[in-house]
Amino acid sequence: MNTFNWIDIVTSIFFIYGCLLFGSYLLNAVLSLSEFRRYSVKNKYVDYKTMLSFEKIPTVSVIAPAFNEGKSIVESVKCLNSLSYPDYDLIIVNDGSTDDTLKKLIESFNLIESAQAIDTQLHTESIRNVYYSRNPVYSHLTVIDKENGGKADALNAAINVSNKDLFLAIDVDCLLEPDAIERMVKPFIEDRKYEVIAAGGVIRVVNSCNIENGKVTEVKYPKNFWAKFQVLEYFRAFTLGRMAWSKINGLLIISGAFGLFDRNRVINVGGYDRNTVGEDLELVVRLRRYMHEVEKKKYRVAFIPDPLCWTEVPENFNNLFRQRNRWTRGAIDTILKHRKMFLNPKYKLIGLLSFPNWVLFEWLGPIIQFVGLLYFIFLAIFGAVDYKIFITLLIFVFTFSLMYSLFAIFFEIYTFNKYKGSGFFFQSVLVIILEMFIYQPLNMIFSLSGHLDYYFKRKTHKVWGKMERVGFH
Amino acid sequence: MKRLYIYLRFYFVTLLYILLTMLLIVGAYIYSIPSIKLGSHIITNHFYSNLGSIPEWLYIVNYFIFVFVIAIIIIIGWTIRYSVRKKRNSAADIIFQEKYIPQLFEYLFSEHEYSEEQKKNKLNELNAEITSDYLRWTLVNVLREINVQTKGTVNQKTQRLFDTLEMDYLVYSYLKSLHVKDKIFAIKTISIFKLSYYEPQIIKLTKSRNLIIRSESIVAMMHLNAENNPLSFVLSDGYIPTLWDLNLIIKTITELEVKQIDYVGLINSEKEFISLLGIMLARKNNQTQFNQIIAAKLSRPNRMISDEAFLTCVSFAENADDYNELINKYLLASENLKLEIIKCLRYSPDTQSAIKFLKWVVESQKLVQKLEALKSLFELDFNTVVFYKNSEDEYIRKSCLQILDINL
Repeated sequence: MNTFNWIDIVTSIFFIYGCLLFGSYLLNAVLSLSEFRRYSVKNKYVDYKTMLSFEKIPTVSVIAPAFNEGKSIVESVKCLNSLSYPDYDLIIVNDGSTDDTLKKLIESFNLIESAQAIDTQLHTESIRNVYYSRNPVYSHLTVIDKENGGKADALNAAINVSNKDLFLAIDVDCLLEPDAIERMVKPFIEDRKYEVIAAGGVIRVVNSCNIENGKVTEVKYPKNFWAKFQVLEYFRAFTLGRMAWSKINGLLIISGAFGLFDRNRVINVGGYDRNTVGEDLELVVRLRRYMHEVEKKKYRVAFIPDPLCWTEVPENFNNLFRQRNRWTRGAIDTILKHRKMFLNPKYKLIGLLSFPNWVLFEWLGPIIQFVGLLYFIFLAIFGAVDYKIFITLLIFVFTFSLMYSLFAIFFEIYTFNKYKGSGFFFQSVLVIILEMFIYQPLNMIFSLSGHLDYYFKRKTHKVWGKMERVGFH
Repeated sequence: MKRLYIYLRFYFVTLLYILLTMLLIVGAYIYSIPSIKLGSHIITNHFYSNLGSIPEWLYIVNYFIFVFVIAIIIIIGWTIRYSVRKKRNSAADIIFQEKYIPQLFEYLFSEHEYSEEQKKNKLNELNAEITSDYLRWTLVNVLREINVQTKGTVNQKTQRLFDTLEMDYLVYSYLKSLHVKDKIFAIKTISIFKLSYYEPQIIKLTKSRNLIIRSESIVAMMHLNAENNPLSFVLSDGYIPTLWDLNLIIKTITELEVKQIDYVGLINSEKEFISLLGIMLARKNNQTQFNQIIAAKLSRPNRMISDEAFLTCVSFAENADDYNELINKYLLASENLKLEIIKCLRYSPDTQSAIKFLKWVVESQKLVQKLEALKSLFELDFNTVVFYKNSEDEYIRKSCLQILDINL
């Protein structure tokens, strides 16, 4: 085989990979549009207040682990306590914080220590104390103070204490819309054909928004550029990506910051995996495996596109780097752990489509991008680049990315329109252009560092992956 | 004419999709040939001349770039158009809020009685100014909300005003519309203003596959038949409710304070959710006379029905014999049902039997049930809870302390 043949073969591989990637994006856009239309017709005009007086609806525990959240914990608990769902309780887990998180909780909510008999169905680090509020306004609040064991361990402790049908796992710094639980619970009581085992929701960026009494009162486009990039990224990931996977019941991830689960089934599969940093992805994959291997029933993981949960995203390079590095390690860990599912027809669509998608584009994606870049430099050095082809392909990628991101922005304006004013649209166009040249290459580097850390440092266990919070304004 | 307009509006997006797809296909075809002959005209594809200098796949890539650029222009155009339309509607809303709402409130809530002449003039003024469908739609929505939230004179005034406004053509065309939003508007209006001549159409809609249309139609049917067996449609062939419908029916029945319910028909229905509905309604309305029929459902294979029947029998139990019979079956109940039964016993008329049963649960059952039983005992017999404070069983002791800590 001569050199040029070899170059042709490698180039073809990259080209095919690129075609698959762009094809999957296009398919995502079409499927998400169709799914959103279906969801909108079904839910847009539902009066969720009617659910408040329903007799037979699942009970829910909102569980939120906290580690060094002193800056925002009080506001967060106030917000979580003011949800409108008729039968829910709130369980905050202080996972061995070293700051004043527990002290603030005790003082602000008039907590008292209480004996607690816990049915330990999931193994966790030891629980120091359980607190309840003497203030009747916070009668649904339970605070668990435990030894540090990581986020998954804290979530498991809360699942042990809960005795409700479903649990809503959230990040404690998230702010929820008052009717968030009703909207998430609805698929559990309306589906006739499938059993709903979990439901995921959309996360929105709260940076720069106005907040009063734990509620987002005015949605503003972030001032910080890192946050602006993430707003765009979240639009694409949630409204186009997850919506599309939900359409074909192939959703593999429910964000750890906001997901509703069937408690009994989660206990049956052994709860959150304490030995991974991607516990959210891992749990959904394990639940799906359990449904295929054990229960063998028709089931569904639902996705709710309404903006119900607001979270603060990293506003600086270091925090963003740490977060993405952790996400990558979590994804690799889950993929390797459940590799049996890859192209396995036993798991139907999950094994044949969703899982391979994660392997090809989430796991291998950054590596292929990086190798492709090195390959291009190599070809350029040896004068083997046809610049006419290169520029055409560059324009192709540029126009496609612009179209795809603009579509995501249009989708937001057309559906929820949370960001008011024409400034949002024009700023977004600028962000889309900058994102292609700054944010996406950086994201590739963050992911690569996650790969390196995973394979060479084995950083997977019990890491909270904290980011410094600014706190709510 | 209005219906034609609504149909065109509904299919506009679909037509646009078809048109764009056809353009893409035709465009791809024209792009792939050197020229096309239309009658006596020959249109030359100038891009085709480049094909000799670049590979064919790159030629296709060029076409995709062209398509993406067109798509970008369309998306930007749509976004601007949509933003402008939203602004226009919110401007109309502001005018409605500032101009018509005060007038409407003044008319509905003032104690001053208008003469027929004055009423006629006011109505003419209103009709002359509310010209667009959007404003009419908003006006009816406001009237409906006021009607729901008021009673007596104001309620009657809204009803009269709606009748006088002659909006029937609007309700009819919106009921036939394919847009969910329009349909819901029509169903709600029919429901609140009791336009019973639409009942046949509403019955059809109670079987709709769309949950929200089905829900609104169920409520509408019950409103239209509030005085005369409002659940008759539930027993009709082909109606299969979901858990959502069931909750909604119970809610509406409670709000309308319906007395006339065919409990036997519902409980004995072959359809599982309808049977469940009957049992739930019987328990809610304390219809103890149906105890025997409900007890027969304890053996139904559907867990929801047997659980609900069990719970209902517990809440209907009156003496020690009833309790003993139920205790014998307690161990067969699901975990959730056991907790429900324990909670239910707080309201038992035979306190002594209930306490005896709860003590048995505390001493012999699982931790979660112990906790719930102690909570019920706290309501029924405080001394028993204090007694368990010194129990030798660590779990009972801890559970007991937990209940006392929280409640004292």
